[in-house]
Amino acid sequence: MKIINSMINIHVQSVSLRTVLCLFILSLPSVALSAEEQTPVTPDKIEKQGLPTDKASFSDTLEDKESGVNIKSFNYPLMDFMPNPEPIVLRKANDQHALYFPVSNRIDVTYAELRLKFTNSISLLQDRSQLRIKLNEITVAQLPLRADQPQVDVVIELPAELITSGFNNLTIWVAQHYTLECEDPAAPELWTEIDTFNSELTLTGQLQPIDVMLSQLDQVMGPAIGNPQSYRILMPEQYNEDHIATGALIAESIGLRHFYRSPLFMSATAKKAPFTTETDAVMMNEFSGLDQETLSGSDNVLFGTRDELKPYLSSEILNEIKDAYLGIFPLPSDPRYFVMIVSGTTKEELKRAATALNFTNFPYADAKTSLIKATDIPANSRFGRKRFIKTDRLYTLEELGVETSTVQGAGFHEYELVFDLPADFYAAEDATVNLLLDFSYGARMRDDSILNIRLNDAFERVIALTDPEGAVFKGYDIKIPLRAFNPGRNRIRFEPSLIPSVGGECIAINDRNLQFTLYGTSIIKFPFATSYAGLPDLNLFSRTVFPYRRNGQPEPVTVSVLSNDYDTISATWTLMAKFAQVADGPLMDAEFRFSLPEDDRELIIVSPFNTLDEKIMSSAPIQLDGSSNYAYPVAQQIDGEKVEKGFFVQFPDLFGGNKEEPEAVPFKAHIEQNANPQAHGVAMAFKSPFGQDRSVTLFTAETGQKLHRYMEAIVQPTLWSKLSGDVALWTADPKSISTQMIGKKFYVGNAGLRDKTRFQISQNPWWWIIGVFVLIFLLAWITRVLLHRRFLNRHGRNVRIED
Amino acid sequence: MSQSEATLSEKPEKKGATGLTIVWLFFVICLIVAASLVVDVSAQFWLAGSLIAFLVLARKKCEHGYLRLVYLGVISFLSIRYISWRTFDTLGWENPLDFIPMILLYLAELYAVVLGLLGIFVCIEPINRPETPISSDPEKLPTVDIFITTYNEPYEMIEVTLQAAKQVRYPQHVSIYLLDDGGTQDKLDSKDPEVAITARIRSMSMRKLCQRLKVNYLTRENNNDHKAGNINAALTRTSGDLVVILDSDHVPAVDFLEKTVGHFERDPKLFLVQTPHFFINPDPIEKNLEIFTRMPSENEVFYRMMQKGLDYWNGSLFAGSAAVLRRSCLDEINGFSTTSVTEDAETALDLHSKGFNSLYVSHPLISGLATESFSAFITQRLRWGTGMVQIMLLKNPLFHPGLTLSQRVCYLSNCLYWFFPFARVIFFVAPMMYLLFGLHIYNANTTEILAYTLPHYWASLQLSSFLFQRVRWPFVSLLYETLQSIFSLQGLIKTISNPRAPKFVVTPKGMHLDEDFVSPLATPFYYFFVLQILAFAFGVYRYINYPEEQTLVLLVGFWHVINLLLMLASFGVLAELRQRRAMPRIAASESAILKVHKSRIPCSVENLSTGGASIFTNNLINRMLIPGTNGILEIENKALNKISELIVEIKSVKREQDGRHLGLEFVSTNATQRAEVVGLVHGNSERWFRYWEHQPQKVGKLEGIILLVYWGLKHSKMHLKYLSNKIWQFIYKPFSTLILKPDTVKEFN
Repeated sequence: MKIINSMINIHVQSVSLRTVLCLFILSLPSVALSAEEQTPVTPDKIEKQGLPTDKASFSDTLEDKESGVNIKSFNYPLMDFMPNPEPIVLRKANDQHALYFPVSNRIDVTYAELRLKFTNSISLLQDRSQLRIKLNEITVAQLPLRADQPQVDVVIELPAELITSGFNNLTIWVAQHYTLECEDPAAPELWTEIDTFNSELTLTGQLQPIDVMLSQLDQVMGPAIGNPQSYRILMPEQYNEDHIATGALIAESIGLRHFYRSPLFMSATAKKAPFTTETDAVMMNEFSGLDQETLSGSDNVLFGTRDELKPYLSSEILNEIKDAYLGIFPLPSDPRYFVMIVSGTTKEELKRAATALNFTNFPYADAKTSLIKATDIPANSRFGRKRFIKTDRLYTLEELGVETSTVQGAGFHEYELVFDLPADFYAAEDATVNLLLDFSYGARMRDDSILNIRLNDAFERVIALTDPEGAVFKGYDIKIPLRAFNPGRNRIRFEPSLIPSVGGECIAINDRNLQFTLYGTSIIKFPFATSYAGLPDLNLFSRTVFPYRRNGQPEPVTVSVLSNDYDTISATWTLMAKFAQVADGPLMDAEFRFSLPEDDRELIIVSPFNTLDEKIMSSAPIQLDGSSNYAYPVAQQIDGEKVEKGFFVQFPDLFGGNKEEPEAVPFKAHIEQNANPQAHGVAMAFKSPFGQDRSVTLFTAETGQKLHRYMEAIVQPTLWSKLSGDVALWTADPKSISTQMIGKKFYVGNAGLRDKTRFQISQNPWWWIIGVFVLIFLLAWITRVLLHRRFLNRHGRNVRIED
Repeated sequence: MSQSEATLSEKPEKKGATGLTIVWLFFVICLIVAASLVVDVSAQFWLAGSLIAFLVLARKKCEHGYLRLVYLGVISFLSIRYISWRTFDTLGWENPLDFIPMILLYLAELYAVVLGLLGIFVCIEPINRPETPISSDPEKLPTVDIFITTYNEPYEMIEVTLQAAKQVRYPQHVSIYLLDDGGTQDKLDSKDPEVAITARIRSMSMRKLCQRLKVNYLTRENNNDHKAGNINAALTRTSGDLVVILDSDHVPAVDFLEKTVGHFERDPKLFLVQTPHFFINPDPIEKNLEIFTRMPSENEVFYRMMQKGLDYWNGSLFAGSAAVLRRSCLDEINGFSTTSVTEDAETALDLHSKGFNSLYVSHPLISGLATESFSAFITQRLRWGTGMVQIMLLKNPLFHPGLTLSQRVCYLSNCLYWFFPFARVIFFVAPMMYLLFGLHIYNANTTEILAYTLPHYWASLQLSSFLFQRVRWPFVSLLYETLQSIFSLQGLIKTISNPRAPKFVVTPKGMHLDEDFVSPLATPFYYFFVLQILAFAFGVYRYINYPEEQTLVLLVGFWHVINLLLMLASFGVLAELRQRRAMPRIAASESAILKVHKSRIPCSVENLSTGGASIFTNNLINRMLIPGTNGILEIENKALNKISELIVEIKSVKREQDGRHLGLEFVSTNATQRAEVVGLVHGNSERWFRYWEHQPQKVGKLEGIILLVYWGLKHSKMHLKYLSNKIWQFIYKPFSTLILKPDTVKEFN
């Protein structure tokens, strides 16, 4: 164990010289990285560095195929293993937090360490307060929590032998006390906060040669530590738009297998092997014609029709390609990586094979190759794991993955209900989601025992568990306004907090009565909601890929890749993989073009600046040619709601008054500049000039290379989750993204006229109010005329109206 | 201009009118659509706030003409908006127990909104008819029969009415008939000897009275079809062109025919001229709350506003008395209609559907008597309600052939109103459902209630205030409806289940109430009151123990408190005050001279009745002005156009600093004297008109609530006293028999 920034005494469990060596080696790529930032990055460089993903990195620390030394190091911040990037706060006298990290069977972990950076309360009593690290339920380290040294940065070596392939459990446990006497175990000064951004887990080991079957795809392709996170997708030398589409399907399938972690892609054409003596020596392998020189260092996918792949593959394999074909083989030149072959005798078969890869849960053959005879995909098919729900339906919690289960013991517990709402739902303000909870709890709990209900981490409701005899509830009704829910992913947490009725140091505490059961028969009932949303909205896009999937239905989409260079294509595939992860399925029928579409379709453009034509840019919220005046994000802006004014003060606004007032929130800094924002990747969303109520989402950068680089950065969770507004500019720095809403909103959805009107009126009530008054005045006037006519007809002029 | 020319010239105008009507309909649809839009609550707040601000700020500017329609349009919009919101957004229910009361409350609200909109339609252009003089050539004038219907009313009352009928001025032939249904052969031959004897005595006295006054006495074999049958029997035996219908307590003024017959001359298709029912005594509510003359009478809404509005739509309603009808029109429908117990409204409906016209003269031409006791009041209202519901069910004006669209709407409004007991009871019970049982019968949160419900209810009160500001105080209708609802509901349900079953019940008139007492009808109110108090207590409990519902409890509690105040005020009404004077005194301000022996003492008449008068004189010297002294009151009798000299006896003297109030009794020595007294007291319609036009103090909404509190507290005290006596007796009696000696008990009792 190495102490970096602390003077505390550590009870060392094991110290190894290897650690010092490895840390020294680890420091090398960071030097390389800082140097790299000053010069343009080439694909080769990225490849060699292992494509740093956000803060996570993996690198060939010592790799020499010839010498056989084959050590790789993988470094991840702890927040990568958490659903939400947030610090871990451990409270009260006794608390713990468990993290799970997956490890691939491709790596033989030889060394593991945890760099833990945390801050503890200055009220803690050193003799009794401690932090314990458990790896797979075995304690591997203990640290005292000291009041005089509250900030700790410590490196702990983890026993590599405890790390297994699959998920590993890393638990951080604390005992926190402020006195030797009787104390309040829930005292607010009992806390320790783990900095999950700067705390890191590092695994170092040797990549093993693999000999994998198709049935093992999930093991070798996924987010587990040890699996390469970058892929090289090889096209035939003569590639066209269809190849981009097929490559996208493959990228999407890989993206789906990587769950939350975004894989990176490099596109290239497969090269024929030079016919040398050495090459002749390997002529006998599956890839006899393929130049494997540049294929090492990442996994590879080679696709094309049989005819297109003829130059690269052995005749044996070619003979096997009689239909849609999937095959996986170790890379002959470096068996630590694999080459997957996706092929078919025709384009259709090729597409079928690529499509089949997207069925991530499908039990593939336990063989190296397989022919896909047919794929039958329903129009609105879902591929993965998300629980898409429909409004105007009710579901049991069981159906949404929360089975009946009991939690027991003192403290906090949690059930989590996760589901995905349509991206564009719009409901009346009073529409509520009803939770009809079935639950029971034990007797004689303290009367501050509660069940907190949180929606997307915001506290919503609490149920007091106060009946001393315990209670069973059936259909306990909780209403939450539908508008409190997010489009897309939502999390409802049920947090029973069970407190024993007695406490204190000198009293035996029975916690067997502290039980809580949430039944899977509980119901969540959604009200009717229609589909209507304001666009452009990059945030909505980043969370739900709206409007490319509307109301669960895929829309006609064109992906325009206006430059056919490898980098732009790589950027496109990287984006499509992210897209599949968010949408939980590939864009099955997307059309890929090297030009702009001519028909009414949703549009994604991935292209460098210079390929963007005037028609597109005239609709874009900002111009990129440098000659125009555009809003440049000098600082993070908040597009606040307009400040509400008084009843009468607001009136003149309608008629153009109150001009002298500044805008409620200073918003745009206009900068005239004669150069493009070279240092940025740019994402823009705007109304398409090609179709009615269609959108364009544009990802661009100065060059294809930069575009590829920035695309790799933006798909990482830290940046991707920050996309919002209609313009985003970012750099490779995970904290550097600026977003703005510059263009005008437009609204899409299949909401009826009533709902659309409701939406617009709710946004602009004054126009409605004026309209109502005008209508009443007009109606009164016509009524008056009609009444007067009738009056004269019947009564003549002698009779008078009542005064 | 020839007829064809006239038709030609009318065509383009008609075309224009049709086009305009289509545009009007289009705008109405637009308005309904705009009102039905569901928006965020904040937008609704802005809308409701703007509309209410308009209603408050523009009230004075909008009382007449075009802006009046705008004002009514804004209120209609708020109501339509509210009911649209209620319909589409608040009827979700989770518990079957909630469902039925929730739907009932919704229906009650829907009913109230529909009734409000119908009221706006009816009162959109109330009209005042000009006087239409009768032809100067008596020969051209139609002949008139005056029918005075009687059943069991007191002799004195009928005498006055007959006397007054005789004094009605009309240059053409007038025949007066007393239609006595109390002296039918069936009654005279009744198997019940008591009934038979009473009928015979009464019949004999009536015949003698008619003989003495030289008017016609008519009776018939049986009492079939009650009042309608009585009139129909008379129609077959009389021949006047026009028929005046008078109840026996409706005393006509001398100019009754002069002010009504002219309209028949102008319009040959006119079947009815209705005049107001003007009451000179308080109804039981006014009497018991001691608000007679200080507050507009309850029926003024109908006679000073609704009838004028109905007249605009050619839908004036026949009110059973104080009206003139054309015999030829009645012949078209074979006399009065007899399907329902409100023969008047039904007859008007049948005649309207034949294409005949009606109109309303907004000038009191009769002086009548309101019911004296609460039970009589309820009997009368039950009959009206039952009859109108019968018409609704048996001759539904929406589908009755021959009516114009506007007449259908008018009749619908008239009939629907009488379903109010359903709504009123539901409004009473609904807040208790929440406070007592926690039933969620109104599926809306507090913010929505503030945004939708409060503006609507405020606008409803404003509508009532706007349309009827001169003729009704706020919350008074609620009080009247509350009092009737509890009793009417049962009758209403019976009528709905069997519309042909209800029988005509004669309203008792001319009663003496010798002492204060609690109405025997009070018992159901006690049950309601106990429930309300319980609900109030539960409300307090709910407020304390359910913090999340506090705002809702406050809102519902406010509603409940209004109901509670109505109940308290009802207790005040149910505590009946005595009424000894059968002939009520009428306020007057006329100069007169009291001749006592040889002295001529100038005085002013303060009030009058057929029994006597109250005068004030500043003569403090004359020693003869003492009780028991006889004298002659010399007073101008405008109705008879002469100076009447009426023999009087001083009955009471009340000395003031500046003079003396004398109570005089008319000592009628002969028929002429009595006739002059009737002419003096009842003959001058201008006195009624002046009285009618007198503007009582206007009362705002807040004042209305304060008055409710005041009435409730002041007049329910008697109830408390009565109840405490009862309870004391209940406790004391058994105790006293055990402990006290028998003679003490006797003494106590």
